[in-house]
Amino acid sequence: MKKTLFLLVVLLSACLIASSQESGGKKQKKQREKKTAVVDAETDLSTESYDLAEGQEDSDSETDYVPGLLHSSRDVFENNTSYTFSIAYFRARGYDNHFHNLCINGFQFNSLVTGRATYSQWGGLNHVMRYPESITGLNVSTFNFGEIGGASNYSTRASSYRKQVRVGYSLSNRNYTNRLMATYATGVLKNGWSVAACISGRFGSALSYVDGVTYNGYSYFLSVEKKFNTAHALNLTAWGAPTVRGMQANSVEEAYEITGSHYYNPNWGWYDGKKRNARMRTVHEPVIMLTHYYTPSSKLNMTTTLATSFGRNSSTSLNWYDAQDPRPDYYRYLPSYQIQNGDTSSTYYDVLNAWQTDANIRQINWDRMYEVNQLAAYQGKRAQYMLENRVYDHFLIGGVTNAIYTINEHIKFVYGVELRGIKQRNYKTIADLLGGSYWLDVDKYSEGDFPDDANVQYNDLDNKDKQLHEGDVFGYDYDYHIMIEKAWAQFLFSYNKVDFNVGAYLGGKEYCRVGHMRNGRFQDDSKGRSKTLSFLEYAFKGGVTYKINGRNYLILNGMFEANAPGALNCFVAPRIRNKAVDNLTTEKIGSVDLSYVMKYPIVTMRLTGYFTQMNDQTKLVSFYHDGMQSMVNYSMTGIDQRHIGVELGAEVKLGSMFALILAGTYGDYRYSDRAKVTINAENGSDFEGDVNRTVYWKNYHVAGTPQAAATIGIKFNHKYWWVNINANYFDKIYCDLNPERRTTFARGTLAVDDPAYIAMASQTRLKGQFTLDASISKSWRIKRYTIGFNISVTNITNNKNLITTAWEQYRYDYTEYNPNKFQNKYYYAFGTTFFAGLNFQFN
Amino acid sequence: MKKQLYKLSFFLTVAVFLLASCKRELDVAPIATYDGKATHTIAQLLEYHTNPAGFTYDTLPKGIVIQGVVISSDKEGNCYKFITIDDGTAGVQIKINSSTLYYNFPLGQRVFVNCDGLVLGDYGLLPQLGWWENDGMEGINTNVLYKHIFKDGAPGATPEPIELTSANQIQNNMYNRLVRVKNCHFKYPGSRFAETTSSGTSNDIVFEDGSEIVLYTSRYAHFASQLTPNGTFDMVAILSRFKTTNQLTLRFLSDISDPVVPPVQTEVVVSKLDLSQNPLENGWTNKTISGSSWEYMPGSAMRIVGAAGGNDSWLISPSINATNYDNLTLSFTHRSLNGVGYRQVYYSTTYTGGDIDESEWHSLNISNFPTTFTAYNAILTDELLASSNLRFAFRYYDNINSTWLLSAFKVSTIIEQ
Repeated sequence: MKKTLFLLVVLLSACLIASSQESGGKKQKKQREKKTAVVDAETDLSTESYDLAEGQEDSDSETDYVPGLLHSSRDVFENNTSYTFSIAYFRARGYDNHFHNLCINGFQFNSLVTGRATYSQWGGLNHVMRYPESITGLNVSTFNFGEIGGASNYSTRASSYRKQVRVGYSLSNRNYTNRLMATYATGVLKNGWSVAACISGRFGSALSYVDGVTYNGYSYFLSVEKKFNTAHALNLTAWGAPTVRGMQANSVEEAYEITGSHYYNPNWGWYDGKKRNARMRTVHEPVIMLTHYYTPSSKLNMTTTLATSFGRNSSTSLNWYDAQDPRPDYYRYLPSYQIQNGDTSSTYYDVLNAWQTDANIRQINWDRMYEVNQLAAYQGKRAQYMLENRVYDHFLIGGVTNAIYTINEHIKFVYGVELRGIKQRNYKTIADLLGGSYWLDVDKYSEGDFPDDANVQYNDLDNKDKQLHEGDVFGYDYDYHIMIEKAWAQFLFSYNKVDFNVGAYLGGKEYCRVGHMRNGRFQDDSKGRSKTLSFLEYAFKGGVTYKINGRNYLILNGMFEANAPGALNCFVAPRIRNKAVDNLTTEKIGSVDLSYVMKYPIVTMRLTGYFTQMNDQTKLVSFYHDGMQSMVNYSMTGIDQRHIGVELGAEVKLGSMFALILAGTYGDYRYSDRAKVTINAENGSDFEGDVNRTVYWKNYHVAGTPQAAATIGIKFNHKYWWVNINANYFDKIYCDLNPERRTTFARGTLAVDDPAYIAMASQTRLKGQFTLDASISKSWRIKRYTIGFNISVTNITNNKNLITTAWEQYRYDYTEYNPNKFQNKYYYAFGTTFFAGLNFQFN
Repeated sequence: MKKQLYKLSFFLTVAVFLLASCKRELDVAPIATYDGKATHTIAQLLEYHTNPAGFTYDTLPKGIVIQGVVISSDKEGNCYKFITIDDGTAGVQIKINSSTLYYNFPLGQRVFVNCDGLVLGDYGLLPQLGWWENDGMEGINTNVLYKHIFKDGAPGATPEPIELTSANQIQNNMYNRLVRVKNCHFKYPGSRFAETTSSGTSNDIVFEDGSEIVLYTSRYAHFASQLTPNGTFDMVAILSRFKTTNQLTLRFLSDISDPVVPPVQTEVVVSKLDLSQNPLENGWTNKTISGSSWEYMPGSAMRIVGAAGGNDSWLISPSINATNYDNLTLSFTHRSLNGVGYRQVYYSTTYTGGDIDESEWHSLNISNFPTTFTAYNAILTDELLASSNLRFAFRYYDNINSTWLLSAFKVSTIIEQ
């Protein structure tokens, strides 16, 4: 309650600042012209010399979190929170990353499969991929129709990079230890050509908080532009970022407590005297882009981009058959499990002691797996353990045209058309047989369940008795074929007191699954092409800005959209079946926000209230269902969410060198209605039957982000010295829900006040946490040469208790209702981290 | 206008903030209920079991739904992989392939059972619903349990057990139902409920009328190592059978009421006549007012032989401290010969020696003076007896020369432990 009051006070303070500024506005009016010029100059310097978000790319959790929807935005809220809040995996307004449209040269890079932008495709290219044009929330955008979470657009136009040679080295204890980067840009040459190139390498993990992780990434970038005349220019860009990383996995609190570290990583084990990680992710997805800039007159500005992307994203994982689970933190291996089974306390202490003293117990025991496999090979039997590689190969091609046509001094017409298509192949290969001789492709969950039909156990019925070796495909093999067509238009009106805009979007999305394996459980429904799922998408958007005066604005925006459900959620068991989820429908989203914006030389502030309703969302998850004793595909439809909240961002200049930063948000993100779920067992004796249930989770919190966050900070800027200090607070952090625990099936006939029901149905709220950040940067310019450094230290107080991601396991003990059997899983933010960079530049 | 806009923005911001702050009631999944109805009673269902041989089963027609209340519990490990339900007409055991069922199917839980796909069989003639696999009845797999068993509402009370006072009262429709065995006891108390050497152990239970029934207990019962209690008790259990042997299955050890164990009675001798030596020299007193005196017959008795012409002679016990005893029992054997005159037995708490008349004597009503040695026993309840100076006196008052012999005098009490 105190924290709530604190946040309310922050908001009220902002309103007071607003009113005081209004009364003092006349005094400042005289200074306005002069001050504005100074501010603009300083802002430019800041963006040139120092990027707060340096080193934040490629956050390496398995949740695919991408830090900060908007980088380097001029919006006073975004600008002061996108970096400072990123430690807590903050998501503006609680939106998932796919509600932000991320473009490069106008070409949208949100994956057609996941909906999310994959920042790792240009990881390490910070010199050339920076300062996007960013649109906050529902504001109007000219390079894309936009989304409720805004949009941003990077430009890789060669001529936009000023002539330079730049070399930088960075040292960090975050995702990697060392980064080297070199950039060369010619600027616009006399013959109209411009060239920009960048290479970088990121490697090492010696300073990481997490044991067993590795990082080895390289990046390349080349952009060449030819300006033919004032109307035409053509730019070709190609880049890629081949990266190999050993990943961190989360675990349960019990494992963290035993190991004494919130960064315990169950992914690795000792092998041949070295730490070997079982989850190696290898990514290389190059992009080639051809952009045509067409400006026949001052009235028309048209950008057309053709792009292709291709490559592989793969990650290894352990697989086993008829053998002990090799994951060290498997629930049966934890000390607590010994208690649950009524074993003697000595067993508990034995296991606890083993965890604490034996690395082969608390980490992966590679030697044992080799031993088991070698023995099996000696006896002529199949391997029982192996390392599989989950591979995603994609080929994307598409084009987009965006144009801004100025009809007259008051009206602009902005429009765009886009066509994108992707073929993504998803399959598994055998990466390493771990000393075994061969592998058989049978489903371990199905074998034995169907004594009358031996074919059921085979994943690839056409090669059912084939002995598989390293490199062979097994398990599943299928493509997603996805097409999207978009057309959108907006009218932007600008008058003395009012600006307003209206726009509409119309598009279509088609999904098709093509199976390459005939699966024994679904022999008639797994191989070949599925029926095409088609969705009509549309959206309407509008906004009005009332200019109270030249310093104060009221902005009202609204948007309604109908989006196709994500491709991953449309098939009931995409790995092995063509069957689509029943009753698929578009997701309907309505959102409004009202902002008061103040822009004085001394004070800049935005105060926004927002309301978003999302209906008919779809989600598919797969997990082992303890009640049904089978792998199930859990297809949820009718997921409704309501996101309400306020945002405040304020920056108050204190003299010529200091500025006070005040920013915060208080949101309430909940499921606004019950969802429907269809459970389809992938194996087990009842796999043909669907089970329909209702998820009773209305008013439960949507997880994935702190719903309340605030920062207060001081900025210092003098003679190219930049210092920032921020104190941050995060709260209303909730554990992501296992929907099955909120069904009548799970409750059974437990009373509402039964401790078993309370433990099962209540949602964990995690403790609010403070962090403190500081950064300093300085650059010196001597004639053509600029040298600079920047050091940022995050979480100075070394708070290791900030949980960034928390979720309930999908497994649950519905037999004995023991909440400790499948405990919540957590990721913790790192303690104190630093990022130190040294740059040398000349032109 | 501007001020109004500021006010509006302030108001809307606070309104949104408060909206985002207010608490909302969390959704609650409704308790599981069953929408349909039972088509058959359990008694009607059991009629389909036409092959009660223990090695075969009966398939059931489609569409049979029964209902009943769960009366079994595997919480203490004596029921294994089954629940037993009772609908008031009969009971049936439902085999389920899970070893922990009491959370999901607690006592008193009403369930509906869709019998499609299930078969009706038996184990040793005890009716069971389940699957038929490997030439025997098997439990329903838990992954399809939700298709067959539907919980209906919150658990309530279990049916009132059928009272049995004799094994001879058992009837066919009582199997798989709760019974309360009244006033029974273990035939061999002090035995383990179940031995470790076999899967289960039979302990005989004896009804009040002497008829017997077996209590069959699994070695995995949590109370297997406990000893069967002594005494009589009431017991609630599930009535089952193995072929022609009726059995009881105990769900909880607490289903046996506290046994009524006959207390161990110990006799405490407060005082006795020691005839191995002359009592008259060891505290006993002879007070002869006239006639003959009491005399010691070594090793056998005290005797008085009356003199012709009249006797009045008292044999008085030593002072007995009886303050700590209730319900003293006076016992002796005596014999009268050659006719019976007046004989009386008294007690006194005031006599301290000296003149008899100066003390208060209370007489005991003894009317039988047999001619052969005969035991006399009397429980004395007079509160006066709880004295530190209790004495008994045997008065021979006769005017003929008859004989009175006294032996085995004992003042005692029974202490229950």
